[in-house]
Amino acid sequence: MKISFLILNAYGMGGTIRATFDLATELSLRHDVEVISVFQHVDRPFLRLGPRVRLRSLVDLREGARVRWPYTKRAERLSGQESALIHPEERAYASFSAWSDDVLRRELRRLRTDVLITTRAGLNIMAARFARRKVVTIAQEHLHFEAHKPGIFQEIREWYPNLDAVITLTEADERDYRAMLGGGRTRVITIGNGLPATPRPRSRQENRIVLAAGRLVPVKGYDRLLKAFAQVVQKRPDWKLRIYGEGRSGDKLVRQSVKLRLHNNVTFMGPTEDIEGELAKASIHAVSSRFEGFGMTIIEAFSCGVPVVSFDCPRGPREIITSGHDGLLVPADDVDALAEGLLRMIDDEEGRHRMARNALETAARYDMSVVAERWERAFAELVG
Amino acid sequence: MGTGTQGGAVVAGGRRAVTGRVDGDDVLRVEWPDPGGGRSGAEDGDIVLRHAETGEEHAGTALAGLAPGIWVVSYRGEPIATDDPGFSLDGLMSYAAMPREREIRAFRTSVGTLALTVREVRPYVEVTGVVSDDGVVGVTGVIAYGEPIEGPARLVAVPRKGAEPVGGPGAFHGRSFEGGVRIEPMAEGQRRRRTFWDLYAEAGGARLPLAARLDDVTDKKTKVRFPAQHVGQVRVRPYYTDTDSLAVALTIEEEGT
Repeated sequence: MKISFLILNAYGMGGTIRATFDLATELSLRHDVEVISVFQHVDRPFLRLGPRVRLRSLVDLREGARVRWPYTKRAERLSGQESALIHPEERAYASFSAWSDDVLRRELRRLRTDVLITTRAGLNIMAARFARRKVVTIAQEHLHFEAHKPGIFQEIREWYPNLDAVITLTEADERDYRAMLGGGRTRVITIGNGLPATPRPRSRQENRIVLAAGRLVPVKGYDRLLKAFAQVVQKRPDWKLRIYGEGRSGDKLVRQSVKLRLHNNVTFMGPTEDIEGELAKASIHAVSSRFEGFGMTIIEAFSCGVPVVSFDCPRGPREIITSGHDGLLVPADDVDALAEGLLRMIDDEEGRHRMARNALETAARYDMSVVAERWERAFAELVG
Repeated sequence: MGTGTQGGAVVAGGRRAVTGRVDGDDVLRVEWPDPGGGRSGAEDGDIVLRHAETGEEHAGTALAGLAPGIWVVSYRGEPIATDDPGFSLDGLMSYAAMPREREIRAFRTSVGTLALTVREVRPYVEVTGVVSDDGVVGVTGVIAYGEPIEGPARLVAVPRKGAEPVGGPGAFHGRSFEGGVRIEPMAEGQRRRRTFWDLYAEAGGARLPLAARLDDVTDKKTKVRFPAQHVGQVRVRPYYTDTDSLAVALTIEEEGT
């Protein structure tokens, strides 16, 4: 079977790229798989893609890149114009242009493949509008249902019924999309992200370290994690918090941390290429998000034997974590409850070890081979 | 087993170890998964270390005398992949409790293999806490790689240029140190826009530098930010230097900054 993934920019780093690459790599063991990147800004992808997967791009943003004849002049003219096909409320709207519209539409109209998997709302809508009828179109939603703004949501409502399937990360999203799509022909299926089956480092539960990871942006709720951790160190001053990632809230969070006098306990570690190695040094993973579309770091933490203390925010955490079994869910947005949850996990060493063992078992459910099988079952139903 | 992927790289690892650590006697302790469910360290004879820069080889797990640098650990010719993050804060602290001239640490590389890092060390005070409030910079710490000391001491701030050192009271209790220095005398003579002061724990005429090295955090200069205090127009802020030593920066703030 030929499977094509369409992704915004395969050359950056981020959850969607990683999930797409891992799935493409696994599927390439049994299928003919390509990843089509709308944009390319550097020579090589940052994240690893299996050698059997072909990667190509549509719009080359590298310095000195030329568009081949007969499109050269057209590209020059259209590159400066705003996209008319992508809704301005698509989160990546600024990346698109009238030229990328042109290229994308042409690509979709001529793409011969068995299955086309698109990976964000703007591209899902493009596939619904322009993909050949023989191609099975599958839209993947990495954002949670309510994250879309009203304008683009209107387009989703209008065009998604043209798709063969919408794959959601959570059952909560599945319910919402199902309700929106009514009894139409579009199938809605939940398939979470998977973890590639590679050996992983494992936490010995021996370091008094709590780890948080993700972009330093408001949705991750690190402001609240810092407040909660300030309560934690009042009682357990020998525990440390390490926050991995970078982002626009970085300076503000550092200032907040200084103001809370957390300088001896909190370190902003910056980005890492080896989050699993870092997780394995920690004993607890904290999730303070306002919402999590899925919660890949929760599964990564589990796979390294690290239990999670998380806000019970929409939508992923509660579908992954069984509170008291492999982690703790605390009421969303409640700083005191997060502090209490962390302290409970810190102080109950025996319970923490038990949850760490259970976490490893939970992680096995997200093994990429298990996840890929679910995708293949979906393909079989949709292609057949 | 043996092929892993992390961070865009591929590991062509050989055998997979459950544990790879350096014990207090500078012996590499590698434990293998055992089909019987236990762990065995019986096959360490086939372990060879290779210096990443010079290519020098060292057979066996006794590590005394290894040259400084990074050593890659292999078993029967293949790098050892490891589950072990190779990292324990308490382990590093207790390893540093003995006087040593050379520090050997095991670590898991970002591609999942076992390696060692060897560096020369001198006694210093490992910083465990810094206070920067109420006109004082205060430090608590623990002697690393040196003999314990008992009795009164001083926290001394030594300017890199010009002015005289400024000290404040402190004490050693075995391995522990605590001391504080008032920032006002440091700021009084400030003429240049910016001055830097290195901090030491002083007892019996000897000075031990203050630093934070018993962890895996690199580049603390950018990752750790201490609170600033002000003496008039002078902003006083402790910071970690490029070598993770503790220092204090004094900056005359201009109008509007």
